[in-house]
This record gives sequence, structure tokens and C-alpha cells, in this order.
Amino acid sequence: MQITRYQAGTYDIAVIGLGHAGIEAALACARMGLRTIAFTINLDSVGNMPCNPAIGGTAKGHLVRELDALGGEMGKAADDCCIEYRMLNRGKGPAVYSLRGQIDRVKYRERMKATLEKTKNLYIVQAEVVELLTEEEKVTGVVTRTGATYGVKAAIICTGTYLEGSIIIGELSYESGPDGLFPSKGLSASLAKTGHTLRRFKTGTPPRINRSTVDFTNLEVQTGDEDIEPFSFSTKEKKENLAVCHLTYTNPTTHQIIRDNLHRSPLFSGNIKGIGPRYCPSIEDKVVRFADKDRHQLFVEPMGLDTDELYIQGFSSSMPEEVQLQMLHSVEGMEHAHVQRSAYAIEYDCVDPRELYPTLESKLISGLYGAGQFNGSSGYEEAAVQGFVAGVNAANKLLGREPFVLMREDGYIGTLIDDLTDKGTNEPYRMMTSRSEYRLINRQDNADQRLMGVGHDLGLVSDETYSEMLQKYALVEEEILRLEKTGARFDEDFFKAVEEKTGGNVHKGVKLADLLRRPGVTYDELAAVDPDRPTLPRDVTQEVEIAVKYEGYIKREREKVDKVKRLAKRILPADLDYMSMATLRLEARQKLAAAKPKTIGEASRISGVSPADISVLLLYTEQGKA
Amino acid sequence: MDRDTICAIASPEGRGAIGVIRISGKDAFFCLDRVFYAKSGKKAVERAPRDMVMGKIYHGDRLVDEGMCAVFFAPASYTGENSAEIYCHGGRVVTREILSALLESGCRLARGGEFTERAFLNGKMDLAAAEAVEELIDAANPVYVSTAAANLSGRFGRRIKAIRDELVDVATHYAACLDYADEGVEPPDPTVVEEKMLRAERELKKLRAGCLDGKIVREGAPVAIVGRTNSGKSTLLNYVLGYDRAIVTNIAGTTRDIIEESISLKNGILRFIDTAGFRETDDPVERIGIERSRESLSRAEMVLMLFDGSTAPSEEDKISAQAVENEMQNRPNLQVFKVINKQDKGVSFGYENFLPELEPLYISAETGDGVENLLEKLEESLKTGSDEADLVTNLRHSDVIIRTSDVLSATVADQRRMMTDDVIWSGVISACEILGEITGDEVKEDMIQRIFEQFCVGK
Repeated sequence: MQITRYQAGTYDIAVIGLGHAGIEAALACARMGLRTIAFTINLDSVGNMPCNPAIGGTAKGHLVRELDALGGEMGKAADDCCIEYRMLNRGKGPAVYSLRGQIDRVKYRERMKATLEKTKNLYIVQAEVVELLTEEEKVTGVVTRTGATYGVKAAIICTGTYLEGSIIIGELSYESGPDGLFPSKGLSASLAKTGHTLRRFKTGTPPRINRSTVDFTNLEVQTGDEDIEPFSFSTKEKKENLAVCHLTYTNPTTHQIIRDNLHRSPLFSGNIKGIGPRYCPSIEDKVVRFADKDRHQLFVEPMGLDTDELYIQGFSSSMPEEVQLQMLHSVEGMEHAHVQRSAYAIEYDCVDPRELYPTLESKLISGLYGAGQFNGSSGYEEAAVQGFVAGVNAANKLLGREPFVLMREDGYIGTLIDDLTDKGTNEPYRMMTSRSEYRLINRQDNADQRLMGVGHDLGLVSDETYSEMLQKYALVEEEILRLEKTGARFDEDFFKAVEEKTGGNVHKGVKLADLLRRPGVTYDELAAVDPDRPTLPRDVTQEVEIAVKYEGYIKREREKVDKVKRLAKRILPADLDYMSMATLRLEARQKLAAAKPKTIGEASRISGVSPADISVLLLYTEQGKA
Repeated sequence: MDRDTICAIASPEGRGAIGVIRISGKDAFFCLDRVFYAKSGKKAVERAPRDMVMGKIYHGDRLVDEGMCAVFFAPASYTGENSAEIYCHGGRVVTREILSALLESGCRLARGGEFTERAFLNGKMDLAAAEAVEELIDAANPVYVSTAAANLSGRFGRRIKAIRDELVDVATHYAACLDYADEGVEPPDPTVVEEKMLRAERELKKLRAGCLDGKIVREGAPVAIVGRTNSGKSTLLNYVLGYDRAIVTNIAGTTRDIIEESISLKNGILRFIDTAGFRETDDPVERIGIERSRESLSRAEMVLMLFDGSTAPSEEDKISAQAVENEMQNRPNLQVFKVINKQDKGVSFGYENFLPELEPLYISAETGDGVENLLEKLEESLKTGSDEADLVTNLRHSDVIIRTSDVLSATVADQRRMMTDDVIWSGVISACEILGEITGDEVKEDMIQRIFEQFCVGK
């Protein structure tokens, strides 16, 4: 039956979905002064974490810090709701330090909902958007299931796994969003009508169990950090760890149960058509692909302080429910575990991100933006940063300002969006430190220095916070200078110890900076030979230590950035006929012809275009000059 | 892509019974038909590809030559374009005139290497192969040709790939460990990583040693002739070369300038360097000559230590022999031949005390006795050295090898200094990136692919 439509008002921007992408998009738009309407299928699920109750982790921690520097909300909210902090990869080098926090999931949702409600210019509505209205390839409005029609100039799609979502458990498959919520129906077809290529991706989640039914006797405890570093630059109060995680392992019995029931797994029977991520394999996947491993690690995470629900990382599955139970009960400590929510796989619609500009605006429809899983990514943090970038760009466009684009060399956000929009992805895309070329300069600890100026320019970082950041790095500079100039106080025992530890003689009068450059020598240790040291905050001394210790490597990476920038500027003629360049592999020819890169730099970032193909292009451009 | 039509003389200029002229490009047949008239009366497009046909070659109205011609249709040709080859009588005059005729018909003179460049651009061969072909053309001797051919078939590429492959595995291990910090991936064992980097370095060093050999193969192995004044160095050189390149006189110190001359043997090229000898002198001019002699000695691959058997050993013999002995100690691989000259005039005692561990070879540079035997020995030692190593005969490849080796050395040093994993990882990745310039692979993609193949990670 056709629903009667009615005019529900006009706004500047509509945000569809209020997960981690939608929240940042909506807040950015509203904070930049645009009248913003934001829709969610269920208002109690704003900022929901349907998978693990944690924020950050390797590379993702970088994203949260960068987003925080730009003026996003995720880092602050995470600090407000974090119950255990851990800095991963400590001791492996500052480039790969990554902060992860266990989050009280319910508290996080409430925190975010309250923030949205209090934000000026922002209006949130519980409604399902079923249609996008366009005129002459421009966004003009959105329509909800109940017929409300909103006139808007831009729309940001942040539909996560809801878009035509369907859940698969064993032989069973049914239409659903995550966590027992309704899926989004209809919008997908409306987007397809505008010419977008929609694809089907898959992800999955493990079971949740009740704490009181778990036997923790033999489970390893994992506690949080003693000296906690918060996510956000703005978090000044002292944080505490309020919870712990546990480790347990699968065993040969678990694996036998899985093997015996493989024929019932939709992944192997072919029931799942969506493309799942390699880095998010189900336990079935792991057992099949790594048959020689006799155990797999499981990580038991608390879902919050006011609940006994536990999340079992590493146990994603799409097996039938009764098989899941057998599997779970074979694991040490889980023999009598009571399952509160079963594991499931979920399939959803998403767009080919190569149909988007680096601003995350659609190449087909002006004013249409996408962020998060809709763009083919995976993960809360990946979603949040895209939501922010899409929101800022939608706002900039309506305000007549320049597009906001971060480059690969600017950090992980730039790398993520460049990978997605330039290379596309064949599976849900997860951020990894492996994906960055500039790990030593784009660290999580200096995200504030790298990006807060940009956030300040956007008007999303306050003058006060910005000047605090400048002050911090002024102190860093000053202290580095002091260490370079100041000789260490002579202390034979200390010098001997350093010689023993690092090899090479330590001479009387050695500068403090030279001692600090030696691997294994820390800033704190140097206090023994540095009597006139000023008292400095931890985040300052950390920056000092990294800057001095890694000076050479950082310099080398900066030179690499400069070289790439120079080469990248070389222009490719617009009329280059790539399809006739037989030396390029067919894939490269097609991709170049489709993408029409303007420069060598753009060409080199297209997936399927190899360095050898770039040599060919360089040869052509040189020929053209001759 | 249609390119303009180029032509060039493909046979070596000047000599030879047959001259070859090559044409390639979109108008190759149009131009050819204005110069070569087949006996059958068929135009180029009507003839069967690769068939050799007889015909007359005209420059305008004037008959230049009679010869043969073969046509190749795109893409089944060397360049991948329509192309043709004209075979005429050798000699500068004929080939030049035919070239002029082609230029007037609309061709353009090809730049050096342009045929191969087109073959590359048209996808007929990859970059490494194209570079190898260019060297094949430049190669002056048989050994060189076979090394160039080895590159062409990708032996070099395979070795580079194998080295890179192992390094990508190391990078992958770090990636799995660092990107999945909490998932129980055992971190790479520093000693194993170091060993793998060192092994890669050694492998590259072998290939880099090939770089040097490559130069020797192309330009000849330098052979320094050392001996006292009047020991017969110039006479020997002249005999070997077959003409008077060096001035042969009896006045001490005549050969002040270093004279270099190459001869081509079956196994390669020998480049003889005649030295001014070693002696005590106050003459500043002579001293320059002696300095140059030392320099020649230091860059020689082989040394002929020449003694005049007809007279007793002198102080100068002693100084010369000492200089050679010093060089041998510094460079264990240096090949030294102890040669007693003027054996036809008798052999004096005393020479057995110089370079005593070497078996002397007796010759007469004047009559030529024993010289043939000496050359055979030289040729034999030329053969070893270039057979084993894959010769890196190309600047780009050796540049890549050197840059990779540098990064690996620095990374090994970093690891020994106990630098953190992030730095070691970046070093290994850089090495893979540089090698990728030859293999054409992208390290990030490879690494991410392998993480999930080799490590069981992910929630």
C-alpha cells in the first residue's frame, strides 16, 4: 500500500544512520553551522557496538587519535566510557604503539545520544529512510518509511550492516540488522536507481555469554596499563582501569566438532554469497585453513560494568546454534557457559568506493556522500573517520569552501580514504599499520601535532585546545634543545652501565641527547645524570624521547615523502590513450582508462597499477616531452 | 598505438658482405613500396609475412642495388608494428643511399634503441628484457652475448625475485605480529631475521660482483704488463696486437704514457695496459709515469710480470716484483703470470727468487715463441669468474642491488643496536620496495596477502 507522503521540513544535510560514522558526520555538519537532520532505525542504538566492546587497537588507535585532533567525538566518548586501557606493542617502537580501550557499550550509546541531543543545529529522529530524492543528479531530499519527506541539499549514507541486512546462522537465513534490530529496506534500490554499483559484503560476530556461568579458575587474566594514556588530547582527568579481560583457547575437541559439522556451515555450503574479510575469519575458517594449529586464542571481553555479558573475541561463527553450543562448551572455562546471544554472520549492501571522490562525495550524484561499512570498510574507527570527512566535506560544499582531503602522507585517515576511493576493495577494509608508507612520521602520539591545526581551521577544535597543543610542542622543542646542549653529569657507574648496555665508549662531557640516542636508554633513566632537568608532563617527555631517538629514521621518511610529492606532481596528459598502451598489463590499462589520473602520483595509487606500469607511464611522458 | 615510421641501418657500418636496413611504424609498407620493388610485382601488403623476396632497390628513379626483403605484419614482428627488413650489398655507400631513399619516402631516422623501445611499449617484451636486448646489440664478444641472453630469459629476474620473496616473508612476520599485537603471534627471532637479511645481502653481493664482471665482459679484462725498462713490455704488446701501437725503443722510460689496447678472444676481451715500470727516479715526468703504473696495477684483473731472461736481475726488477707482490697480498683474486722474456737469448739465474710460488712461462716477444701459450693461459683465467655469476650488465639493475644492499646493511646494524621492531620492519619493507622496481611487485599488497595466508589472526 502506498503511504501518503508529507513535507516534514527542510534541512541542509541529512545523515542516514547513527552508528560511528553517522555520529561523526552529523556532529561535524551541525558544529560547522549546517542545519542537520539525522536518522536512525532505533534511537537506543545510537553508537552501538554490535561486535567487540572495544575502541582502538593496532592502526585503529591511530585513527581515533587523528580524529580527535581534527575535532571528532569518538576519542572523548571512548575516554568517558573506557573501563580498561592497554597500549599495544609497547616496546616494539613508537610507530606501532596502539591504544585500545574496553568500552562500556551501553554507557557509550547513552553518552553519544546525549551529545547528539545537546548539539545545536542537529535534530535526531528515529525513522528508516527508504528513498533518496534527486533532481538532475543532485540530492534534493529523503523519504522515511512513514512518508515523511525532508528537503535537503546533501545526504550522507552511514547505513553500516543494516542496508538490506540479512543474518545467517547455519542453514537459517533471515532479513535483519545487527543485534536484533530491523534492517534498512528500500534505500538500496533507490541508490541503485541513481546508477551506483551496490555489492554484498559479509561480516560476523561471536557469541555473548553470561559471566556467572564461566569458570575462570584456569583462565589467564589480562589487566590494563598502569600508566594510562587516554585517547583524547582533551581528557585531562586521571583514568582508572575498572575491568579485566581473560584469555582461553580452543582445543582439538573444539576443532573436531567444527570439522564434523563443516557441511552445515554456510561459508562452506555456499549459502553466504557476500565477501567476508580475510582478517575477520570465523573460527571455522581458522580451523580449516590452519589445520596444523591445535589451539586458537580466545579473548574474553566484558561488555560493560553494569552487565554480566561477555564477548568472546576469536569465536566468530556462522554455524547452526546447537553446533555453536557444542563448540563453546568444549573450551576450557566455558564448559557450562550460558549463551545470551548467538554468533551470526551478516550480509549487507555497500557501494564500490571507487564511485566516490576522496571527499567521499559520489561521482554520480552531487551532494551524496557515503561513510563506513557502506563504503566497504570495516570497524568502528574506520567508520568514524570517514563519517567525519564526509560530514566536513558536505558542510564545506554547502558553505562554498574548498574540499577537505587528507593525503596518505598526512596520516592514517588519508591512507584509508585514498586506498578506498582510489584502489577500491574486494572485502571489508580494515586499517592496518602495514598499509601506511609513513609509519615513523605518522604516529599515534603526534596526531595532535600533525592534525590539530587542520581541525582548528575547520572550526572544530577550540582556540584553547589548539593553543594547549602548541604549548606542548613548544616545551618539546625547548627540551630537545636543552638535551642537545647540556652535557651529562659525570657518573662513572652510570656511564659504564650505558657502555655495557649499548656498546661504544661514553666520554666525559657527552651530551644528554647523544646518550638518549642510544637504543635502550630512556629519558627517565637519564635523570640520574641530568640534575637540572625541568619537571615536564609525561606526554612532553615522550615526544622528546621519540624525536631524539628516531631523528634519523624520521628524517629519512620525510625525504621519502618529499620525493614522492615531487614525482607525483608530474602531469599525465588528459588525452592519453591507455587502452592502446600494450606494455601496460590489461588490468592497469583498464584501471587507468577508468580513473583518468591527472598525475603520476594519482596513477601510482590505483590498485592494479604496479611500479613497472609507472615506469612505462614515465617513459610515455618523457617521450611526449621529446 | 600508431607511431610514426622509423628506419635505421641494422648491420654494422662499413664492413660486411650484407647490409640490413630496418623499417617500423604505421607507414612502414607505404615507405617500403617506394624503395623496394619485388620481382613478383607484389606490394608489401600482398606478400606473405616473413617471406624473403628478391627485388630492385631504387632511390627515386635511380637503381641503387638488387637485394632481398622480408615484411612482418603487426603485431607479429619484433616491434609489434608493421615492419620490414631490406638486405642489400654491404658497404657504407649502398646502405646510406637506401637509407636516404627511405627518409625521403617519409620515414624518420630511428634513435638508438628505438626499435627495442617500441617492442617494449607494444608489449612484446618486459623492461628487463628490453634492457638486455640493448646490451646484446652493444655486446662485442661471445661471452657477453650469452650473459645478455641469460638476463633476457629472466634468470637474473628469478634470482632477484627469490631474494625479495624471502624478505617479504620477514616483513610479513613483523606485520602479523605488529598489526595483530594481541593475538599470540610469536615475534620474529632477531637472529633468524638477521641471518635472512645477511643471506639476502650475500646473494645480492654475488649479483653485484656480477656487475663488475659485466663491465669487464663489455670492455675487456684489464691486464697490466709490468716489468723493468727494456724487459720487452712494448714488444710483447705489439706482437699480441700485431701492429706498432706502442713505440718500441731502447731508451729507458720511453713508455711514459699508459697504453691500453684490447684484443678479442674466443672467451672474451683482454685489455692490455702497458705500464711505465717501477723504479727509483728523480725525474718528475718519469715519476708521473710510475704513479700511473701503480694505478694501472691497482685496477688490473690480471698481471703479466715480465722479466728479461737475457740479463741478470736488476734493482728495478726487484722493485717491480715487490709492487706486484704487494698487490697480490691485498687482492687474493688477482691473477699474476710470471713471464721470462727473451728466452731465445738465454735465461739468466736469479729470477727464481722473484714471485717464487709462480710457475714461470718462457717466451720471446720478438720471435713470438711461447706467446700463443701465454694468451691461452690468459684466456683460461678469463673464463672463470664470468661463468658463475649472473652478470648484471645494466645500470638500473646494479643501482637497485646497491640501494637494496645499503638498506639491508643499515637494517642489520640497526638490529644489532637493538633498535625497535618498527624500525627493523620498515627497513625490510624498504628493501622489498626497491627490489620491486625490478620485479614489478607491490610489497604492501604482498605482505597483507601473506599475513592471512601464513598467520592465523583476526577475531
